[in-house]
Amino acid sequence: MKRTRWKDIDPLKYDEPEEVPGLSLDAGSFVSPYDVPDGIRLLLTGEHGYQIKLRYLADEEEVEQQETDLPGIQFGFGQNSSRLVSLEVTTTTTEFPSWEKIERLLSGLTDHEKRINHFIVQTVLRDIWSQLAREVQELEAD
Amino acid sequence: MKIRPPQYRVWRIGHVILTVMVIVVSKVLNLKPPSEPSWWSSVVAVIQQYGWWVILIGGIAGEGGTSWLKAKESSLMTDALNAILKEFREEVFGEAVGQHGDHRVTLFQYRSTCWRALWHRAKRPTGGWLVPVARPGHTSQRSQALFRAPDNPGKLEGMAGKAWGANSKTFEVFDLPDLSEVGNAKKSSRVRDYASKSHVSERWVRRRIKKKRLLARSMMGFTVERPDGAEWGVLVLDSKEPRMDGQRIAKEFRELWKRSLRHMVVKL
Repeated sequence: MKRTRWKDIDPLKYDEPEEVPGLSLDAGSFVSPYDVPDGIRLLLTGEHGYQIKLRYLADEEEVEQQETDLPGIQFGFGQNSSRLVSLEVTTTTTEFPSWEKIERLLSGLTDHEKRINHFIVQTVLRDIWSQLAREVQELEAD
Repeated sequence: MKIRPPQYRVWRIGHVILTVMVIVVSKVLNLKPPSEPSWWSSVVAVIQQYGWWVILIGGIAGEGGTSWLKAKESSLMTDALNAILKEFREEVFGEAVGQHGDHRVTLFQYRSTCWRALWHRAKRPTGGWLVPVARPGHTSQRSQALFRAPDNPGKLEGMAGKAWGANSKTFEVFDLPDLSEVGNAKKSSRVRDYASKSHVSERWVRRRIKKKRLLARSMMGFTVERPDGAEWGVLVLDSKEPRMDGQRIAKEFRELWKRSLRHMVVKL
Protein backbone atom coordinates (compact mmCIF):
# COMPACT_ATOMS: atom_id res chain seq x y z
CA MET A 1 0.00 0.00 0.00
CA LYS A 2 1.39 3.38 -0.97
CA ARG A 3 1.61 5.87 1.84
CA THR A 4 3.26 9.13 2.78
CA ARG A 5 5.46 9.56 5.84
CA TRP A 6 3.89 10.95 9.01
CA LYS A 7 3.82 14.70 8.69
CA ASP A 8 4.12 16.47 12.05
CA ILE A 9 1.36 18.86 13.10
CA ASP A 10 2.21 21.53 15.66
CA PRO A 11 -0.33 20.82 18.44
CA LEU A 12 0.36 24.16 20.09
CA LYS A 13 -1.16 25.87 17.05
CA TYR A 14 -4.52 24.23 17.70
CA ASP A 15 -4.82 23.61 21.45
CA GLU A 16 -6.31 26.98 22.42
CA PRO A 17 -9.33 27.50 20.15
CA GLU A 18 -11.04 30.83 20.65
CA GLU A 19 -14.46 29.36 20.00
CA VAL A 20 -16.01 26.02 19.21
CA PRO A 21 -19.49 26.16 17.68
CA GLY A 22 -22.08 24.73 20.05
CA LEU A 23 -19.84 24.88 23.13
CA SER A 24 -19.06 27.57 25.65
CA LEU A 25 -15.33 27.86 26.21
CA ASP A 26 -13.75 30.02 28.88
CA ALA A 27 -11.17 32.47 27.59
CA GLY A 28 -7.71 30.93 27.74
CA SER A 29 -9.11 27.44 28.07
CA PHE A 30 -6.90 24.64 26.75
CA VAL A 31 -7.73 21.43 25.02
CA SER A 32 -6.52 18.16 26.55
CA PRO A 33 -3.17 17.15 24.98
CA TYR A 34 -4.79 13.81 24.06
CA ASP A 35 -7.37 15.48 21.84
CA VAL A 36 -5.07 17.45 19.54
CA PRO A 37 -3.53 15.41 16.70
CA ASP A 38 0.24 15.69 16.31
CA GLY A 39 0.69 13.91 12.98
CA ILE A 40 -1.07 13.12 9.73
CA ARG A 41 -0.41 10.70 6.86
CA LEU A 42 -2.06 9.68 3.62
CA LEU A 43 -2.54 6.14 2.35
CA LEU A 44 -3.72 4.90 -1.02
CA THR A 45 -6.16 2.07 -0.31
CA GLY A 46 -6.92 1.15 -3.93
CA GLU A 47 -7.76 2.76 -7.22
CA HIS A 48 -9.31 6.11 -6.27
CA GLY A 49 -9.34 5.14 -2.61
CA TYR A 50 -7.52 7.21 0.02
CA GLN A 51 -7.27 7.19 3.77
CA ILE A 52 -6.21 10.16 5.85
CA LYS A 53 -4.90 9.08 9.26
CA LEU A 54 -4.40 11.29 12.28
CA ARG A 55 -1.93 10.50 15.05
CA TYR A 56 -2.66 11.19 18.72
CA LEU A 57 -0.82 10.60 22.02
CA ALA A 58 -3.00 7.53 22.64
CA ASP A 59 -2.06 5.77 19.43
CA GLU A 60 -2.98 2.16 20.22
CA GLU A 61 -6.71 2.62 20.06
CA GLU A 62 -9.04 0.39 18.05
CA VAL A 63 -10.88 2.28 15.31
CA GLU A 64 -14.56 1.93 14.41
CA GLN A 65 -15.55 2.86 10.87
CA GLN A 66 -18.75 4.79 10.38
CA GLU A 67 -20.55 5.58 7.12
CA THR A 68 -21.40 9.20 6.46
CA ASP A 69 -24.25 10.80 4.53
CA LEU A 70 -22.00 11.04 1.50
CA PRO A 71 -21.50 7.72 -0.27
CA GLY A 72 -17.85 6.67 -0.45
CA ILE A 73 -16.77 8.65 2.61
CA GLN A 74 -16.23 6.97 5.98
CA PHE A 75 -15.05 8.35 9.30
CA GLY A 76 -12.98 6.27 11.73
CA PHE A 77 -13.63 6.98 15.40
CA GLY A 78 -11.55 5.79 18.37
CA GLN A 79 -13.44 3.01 20.15
CA ASN A 80 -12.72 4.33 23.66
CA SER A 81 -12.25 8.04 23.07
CA SER A 82 -14.62 8.76 20.12
CA ARG A 83 -11.87 10.91 18.63
CA LEU A 84 -11.81 11.28 14.88
CA VAL A 85 -8.86 9.11 13.88
CA SER A 86 -9.27 8.59 10.14
CA LEU A 87 -11.17 9.65 7.07
CA GLU A 88 -11.54 7.23 4.20
CA VAL A 89 -12.57 8.28 0.72
CA THR A 90 -13.48 5.95 -2.13
CA THR A 91 -14.45 7.64 -5.37
CA THR A 92 -15.33 6.45 -8.85
CA THR A 93 -13.48 9.32 -10.44
CA THR A 94 -9.94 10.59 -10.15
CA GLU A 95 -11.17 13.74 -8.46
CA PHE A 96 -10.18 14.35 -4.83
CA PRO A 97 -13.29 15.42 -2.87
CA SER A 98 -13.75 19.13 -2.39
CA TRP A 99 -13.10 20.62 1.03
CA GLU A 100 -16.64 22.03 1.17
CA LYS A 101 -18.10 18.51 1.09
CA ILE A 102 -15.85 17.26 3.87
CA GLU A 103 -16.38 20.37 5.98
CA ARG A 104 -20.15 19.94 5.76
CA LEU A 105 -19.78 16.39 7.07
CA LEU A 106 -17.44 17.37 9.87
CA SER A 107 -19.70 20.23 10.96
CA GLY A 108 -22.58 17.79 11.15
CA LEU A 109 -20.95 15.45 13.70
CA THR A 110 -23.16 15.36 16.76
CA ASP A 111 -21.08 13.73 19.53
CA HIS A 112 -21.25 16.59 22.02
CA GLU A 113 -18.52 15.25 24.33
CA LYS A 114 -15.99 15.10 21.51
CA ARG A 115 -17.10 18.33 19.81
CA ILE A 116 -13.75 19.97 20.53
CA ASN A 117 -11.69 17.17 18.95
CA HIS A 118 -13.92 17.11 15.87
CA PHE A 119 -13.64 20.88 15.55
CA ILE A 120 -9.84 20.78 15.84
CA VAL A 121 -9.59 18.05 13.19
CA GLN A 122 -11.77 20.21 10.96
CA THR A 123 -9.39 23.16 11.45
CA VAL A 124 -6.30 21.02 10.83
CA LEU A 125 -7.73 19.50 7.65
CA ARG A 126 -8.91 22.87 6.35
CA ASP A 127 -5.36 24.18 6.68
CA ILE A 128 -3.81 21.33 4.68
CA TRP A 129 -6.58 20.03 2.41
CA SER A 130 -5.14 21.46 -0.82
CA GLN A 131 -1.74 20.05 0.11
CA LEU A 132 -3.31 16.62 0.70
CA ALA A 133 -4.97 16.77 -2.74
CA ARG A 134 -1.55 17.41 -4.29
CA GLU A 135 0.00 14.54 -2.34
CA VAL A 136 -2.68 12.14 -3.59
CA GLN A 137 -1.78 13.01 -7.15
CA GLU A 138 1.92 12.51 -6.39
CA LEU A 139 1.30 9.14 -4.73
CA GLU A 140 -0.82 7.95 -7.66
CA ALA A 141 1.83 9.08 -10.12
CA ASP A 142 4.61 7.17 -8.26
CA MET B 1 9.30 -5.64 31.47
CA LYS B 2 8.39 -5.50 35.14
CA ILE B 3 10.33 -3.50 37.69
CA ARG B 4 11.63 -6.06 40.24
CA PRO B 5 13.20 -5.40 43.63
CA PRO B 6 16.89 -6.44 43.97
CA GLN B 7 16.04 -9.39 46.28
CA TYR B 8 13.60 -10.82 43.73
CA ARG B 9 15.75 -13.82 42.69
CA VAL B 10 16.45 -14.86 46.30
CA TRP B 11 12.71 -14.65 46.98
CA ARG B 12 11.86 -16.65 43.84
CA ILE B 13 14.29 -19.49 44.70
CA GLY B 14 13.06 -19.51 48.32
CA HIS B 15 9.46 -19.68 47.11
CA VAL B 16 10.17 -22.68 44.86
CA ILE B 17 11.99 -24.53 47.69
CA LEU B 18 9.11 -23.77 50.08
CA THR B 19 6.52 -25.02 47.57
CA VAL B 20 8.43 -28.28 46.92
CA MET B 21 8.78 -28.80 50.70
CA VAL B 22 5.06 -28.33 51.31
CA ILE B 23 4.18 -30.73 48.46
CA VAL B 24 6.59 -33.43 49.74
CA VAL B 25 5.37 -33.06 53.33
CA SER B 26 1.71 -33.27 52.31
CA LYS B 27 2.45 -36.46 50.30
CA VAL B 28 4.28 -38.03 53.28
CA LEU B 29 1.35 -37.15 55.56
CA ASN B 30 -0.85 -39.43 53.44
CA LEU B 31 1.60 -42.38 53.51
CA LYS B 32 1.03 -45.49 55.60
CA PRO B 33 3.81 -45.65 58.25
CA PRO B 34 6.32 -48.44 57.31
CA SER B 35 5.87 -51.55 59.50
CA GLU B 36 9.57 -52.35 59.80
CA PRO B 37 11.73 -49.96 61.81
CA SER B 38 14.36 -48.18 59.67
CA TRP B 39 15.74 -44.63 59.20
CA TRP B 40 12.90 -44.02 56.67
CA SER B 41 10.19 -45.05 59.12
CA SER B 42 11.57 -42.62 61.73
CA VAL B 43 11.63 -39.78 59.14
CA VAL B 44 8.01 -40.55 58.19
CA ALA B 45 7.02 -40.62 61.86
CA VAL B 46 8.61 -37.19 62.51
CA ILE B 47 6.99 -35.65 59.39
CA GLN B 48 3.61 -37.12 60.27
CA GLN B 49 3.89 -35.68 63.79
CA TYR B 50 5.07 -32.17 62.83
CA GLY B 51 4.17 -31.96 59.09
CA TRP B 52 1.07 -29.77 59.59
CA TRP B 53 3.26 -27.12 61.17
CA VAL B 54 5.49 -27.11 58.08
CA ILE B 55 2.44 -26.65 55.84
CA LEU B 56 1.01 -23.90 58.05
CA ILE B 57 4.28 -21.98 58.39
CA GLY B 58 5.07 -22.54 54.69
CA GLY B 59 1.66 -21.14 53.67
CA ILE B 60 2.02 -18.07 55.89
CA ALA B 61 5.59 -17.42 54.72
CA GLY B 62 4.59 -17.82 51.06
CA GLU B 63 1.63 -15.44 51.31
CA GLY B 64 3.59 -12.96 53.42
CA GLY B 65 6.47 -13.01 50.96
CA THR B 66 4.14 -12.44 48.00
CA SER B 67 2.54 -9.44 49.72
CA TRP B 68 5.98 -8.05 50.60
CA LEU B 69 7.12 -8.45 47.00
CA LYS B 70 4.01 -6.70 45.66
CA ALA B 71 4.47 -3.82 48.10
CA LYS B 72 8.13 -3.55 47.09
CA GLU B 73 7.26 -3.55 43.37
CA SER B 74 4.59 -0.93 43.88
CA SER B 75 6.98 1.31 45.85
CA LEU B 76 9.57 0.99 43.06
CA MET B 77 6.93 2.06 40.56
CA THR B 78 5.93 5.00 42.77
CA ASP B 79 9.59 6.04 43.07
CA ALA B 80 9.97 5.89 39.29
CA LEU B 81 6.77 7.90 38.77
CA ASN B 82 7.87 10.49 41.32
CA ALA B 83 11.21 10.83 39.57
CA ILE B 84 9.69 11.48 36.14
CA LEU B 85 7.07 13.84 37.58
CA LYS B 86 9.82 15.75 39.41
CA GLU B 87 11.57 16.29 36.09
CA PHE B 88 8.28 17.38 34.53
CA ARG B 89 7.64 19.84 37.39
CA GLU B 90 11.10 21.35 36.96
CA GLU B 91 10.53 21.78 33.22
CA VAL B 92 7.14 23.42 33.79
CA PHE B 93 7.86 25.61 36.81
CA GLY B 94 11.63 25.92 36.49
CA GLU B 95 11.67 29.66 36.03
CA ALA B 96 8.85 30.48 38.43
CA VAL B 97 9.91 32.05 41.68
CA GLY B 98 9.66 30.27 45.03
CA GLN B 99 10.47 26.84 46.44
CA HIS B 100 9.72 23.51 44.77
CA GLY B 101 7.03 22.91 47.40
CA ASP B 102 5.20 25.96 46.05
CA HIS B 103 4.46 24.15 42.78
CA ARG B 104 3.01 20.66 42.92
CA VAL B 105 2.21 17.98 40.39
CA THR B 106 -0.04 15.12 41.48
CA LEU B 107 -1.03 12.06 39.51
CA PHE B 108 -4.38 10.52 40.48
CA GLN B 109 -5.57 7.10 39.32
CA TYR B 110 -9.27 6.36 38.85
CA ARG B 111 -10.52 3.36 40.82
CA SER B 112 -14.12 2.21 40.85
CA THR B 113 -13.67 0.92 44.44
CA CYS B 114 -11.33 2.35 47.07
CA TRP B 115 -11.42 0.84 50.55
CA ARG B 116 -9.24 3.66 51.88
CA ALA B 117 -12.23 5.94 51.36
CA LEU B 118 -13.84 4.43 54.48
CA TRP B 119 -11.02 5.97 56.57
CA HIS B 120 -11.97 9.30 55.06
CA ARG B 121 -15.51 8.96 56.43
CA ALA B 122 -17.02 7.99 53.09
CA LYS B 123 -20.30 6.07 53.39
CA ARG B 124 -19.21 3.45 50.84
CA PRO B 125 -16.01 2.58 49.00
CA THR B 126 -17.68 2.13 45.60
CA GLY B 127 -18.90 4.66 43.04
CA GLY B 128 -15.56 5.88 41.62
CA TRP B 129 -12.59 7.56 43.32
CA LEU B 130 -9.49 9.44 42.27
CA VAL B 131 -6.60 8.15 44.33
CA PRO B 132 -3.19 9.92 44.44
CA VAL B 133 -0.44 7.60 43.18
CA ALA B 134 2.49 10.00 42.81
CA ARG B 135 3.54 13.47 43.86
CA PRO B 136 7.22 14.41 43.78
CA GLY B 137 8.86 16.47 46.51
CA HIS B 138 10.05 15.91 50.08
CA THR B 139 7.54 18.13 51.83
CA SER B 140 4.51 17.54 49.63
CA GLN B 141 4.89 13.85 48.75
CA ARG B 142 2.39 12.40 51.19
CA SER B 143 -0.89 13.33 49.62
CA GLN B 144 -3.81 11.76 51.47
CA ALA B 145 -6.61 13.46 49.57
CA LEU B 146 -9.11 11.23 47.78
CA PHE B 147 -11.74 12.70 45.52
CA ARG B 148 -15.08 11.30 44.49
CA ALA B 149 -15.47 10.74 40.76
CA PRO B 150 -18.95 9.30 40.21
CA ASP B 151 -20.77 9.25 36.86
CA ASN B 152 -22.96 12.15 38.00
CA PRO B 153 -20.98 15.29 36.98
CA GLY B 154 -22.66 17.32 39.72
CA LYS B 155 -21.02 15.18 42.40
CA LEU B 156 -17.42 15.37 41.17
CA GLU B 157 -15.15 16.53 43.98
CA GLY B 158 -12.22 18.94 44.05
CA MET B 159 -9.94 19.96 41.25
CA ALA B 160 -9.15 16.32 40.37
CA GLY B 161 -12.84 15.48 40.06
CA LYS B 162 -13.56 18.53 37.91
CA ALA B 163 -10.64 17.66 35.64
CA TRP B 164 -11.97 14.09 35.38
CA GLY B 165 -15.31 15.40 34.17
CA ALA B 166 -13.93 18.03 31.80
CA ASN B 167 -13.84 15.71 28.75
CA SER B 168 -11.67 17.25 26.04
CA LYS B 169 -10.85 20.38 27.98
CA THR B 170 -8.28 21.02 30.64
CA PHE B 171 -9.79 22.39 33.83
CA GLU B 172 -8.13 25.57 35.02
CA VAL B 173 -8.62 27.94 37.93
CA PHE B 174 -6.39 30.98 37.86
CA ASP B 175 -6.00 34.10 40.03
CA LEU B 176 -7.30 32.56 43.25
CA PRO B 177 -7.21 34.93 46.25
CA ASP B 178 -3.94 35.12 48.17
CA LEU B 179 -4.66 33.69 51.63
CA SER B 180 -1.11 33.89 53.00
CA GLU B 181 -1.97 36.83 55.24
CA VAL B 182 -5.63 36.31 55.96
CA GLY B 183 -6.60 37.43 59.48
CA ASN B 184 -9.75 35.77 60.80
CA ALA B 185 -10.28 32.78 58.50
CA LYS B 186 -13.81 32.21 59.82
CA LYS B 187 -15.10 35.59 58.76
CA SER B 188 -12.97 36.23 55.70
CA SER B 189 -14.82 36.67 52.42
CA ARG B 190 -11.59 35.73 50.64
CA VAL B 191 -11.86 32.23 52.14
CA ARG B 192 -15.42 31.93 50.80
CA ASP B 193 -14.30 33.18 47.41
CA TYR B 194 -11.36 30.75 47.36
CA ALA B 195 -13.51 27.76 48.33
CA SER B 196 -16.15 28.46 45.72
CA LYS B 197 -13.64 29.06 42.88
CA SER B 198 -11.56 25.97 43.68
CA HIS B 199 -14.53 23.64 44.34
CA VAL B 200 -13.60 22.72 47.90
CA SER B 201 -15.34 23.38 51.22
CA GLU B 202 -14.63 26.46 53.35
CA ARG B 203 -13.83 24.10 56.23
CA TRP B 204 -11.07 22.49 54.15
CA VAL B 205 -9.60 25.90 53.30
CA ARG B 206 -9.66 27.03 56.94
CA ARG B 207 -7.94 23.80 58.02
CA ARG B 208 -5.17 24.39 55.46
CA ILE B 209 -4.69 27.97 56.71
CA LYS B 210 -4.47 26.72 60.30
CA LYS B 211 -1.90 24.07 59.37
CA LYS B 212 0.01 26.61 57.25
CA ARG B 213 -0.17 24.29 54.23
CA LEU B 214 0.06 25.38 50.59
CA LEU B 215 -3.02 27.12 49.26
CA ALA B 216 -2.40 27.35 45.56
CA ARG B 217 -3.32 30.45 43.59
CA SER B 218 -3.62 28.61 40.29
CA MET B 219 -4.58 25.05 39.41
CA MET B 220 -4.85 23.07 36.25
CA GLY B 221 -5.88 19.48 35.61
CA PHE B 222 -6.66 17.15 32.74
CA THR B 223 -7.48 13.52 32.12
CA VAL B 224 -4.67 11.02 31.61
CA GLU B 225 -5.43 8.15 29.26
CA ARG B 226 -4.01 4.74 28.54
CA PRO B 227 -2.37 4.21 25.13
CA ASP B 228 -5.63 2.59 23.98
CA GLY B 229 -7.56 5.80 24.63
CA ALA B 230 -9.37 4.62 27.79
CA GLU B 231 -9.46 7.13 30.64
CA TRP B 232 -6.95 6.23 33.37
CA GLY B 233 -6.79 9.13 35.84
CA VAL B 234 -5.94 12.82 36.07
CA LEU B 235 -2.88 15.00 36.38
CA VAL B 236 -3.31 18.04 38.60
CA LEU B 237 -0.85 20.92 38.82
CA ASP B 238 -1.10 23.65 41.43
CA SER B 239 1.10 26.62 42.13
CA LYS B 240 1.52 29.65 44.35
CA GLU B 241 1.83 31.71 41.18
CA PRO B 242 -1.48 33.29 40.12
CA ARG B 243 -1.27 31.89 36.56
CA MET B 244 0.26 28.96 34.67
CA ASP B 245 1.55 28.63 31.14
CA GLY B 246 -0.90 26.15 29.61
CA GLN B 247 1.00 25.73 26.36
CA ARG B 248 4.23 24.97 28.15
CA ILE B 249 2.45 22.39 30.31
CA ALA B 250 0.93 20.74 27.20
CA LYS B 251 4.30 20.70 25.44
CA GLU B 252 6.15 19.20 28.42
CA PHE B 253 3.36 16.70 29.04
CA ARG B 254 3.66 15.43 25.46
CA GLU B 255 7.36 14.85 26.04
CA LEU B 256 6.69 13.13 29.36
CA TRP B 257 4.06 10.88 27.78
CA LYS B 258 6.23 9.78 24.87
CA ARG B 259 9.33 9.32 27.03
CA SER B 260 7.91 7.30 29.90
CA LEU B 261 4.38 7.89 31.20
CA ARG B 262 2.64 5.90 28.43
CA HIS B 263 4.55 2.77 29.48
CA MET B 264 3.93 3.32 33.18
CA VAL B 265 0.17 3.85 33.21
CA VAL B 266 -0.40 0.39 31.75
CA LYS B 267 1.61 -1.18 34.59
CA LEU B 268 -0.32 0.46 37.40
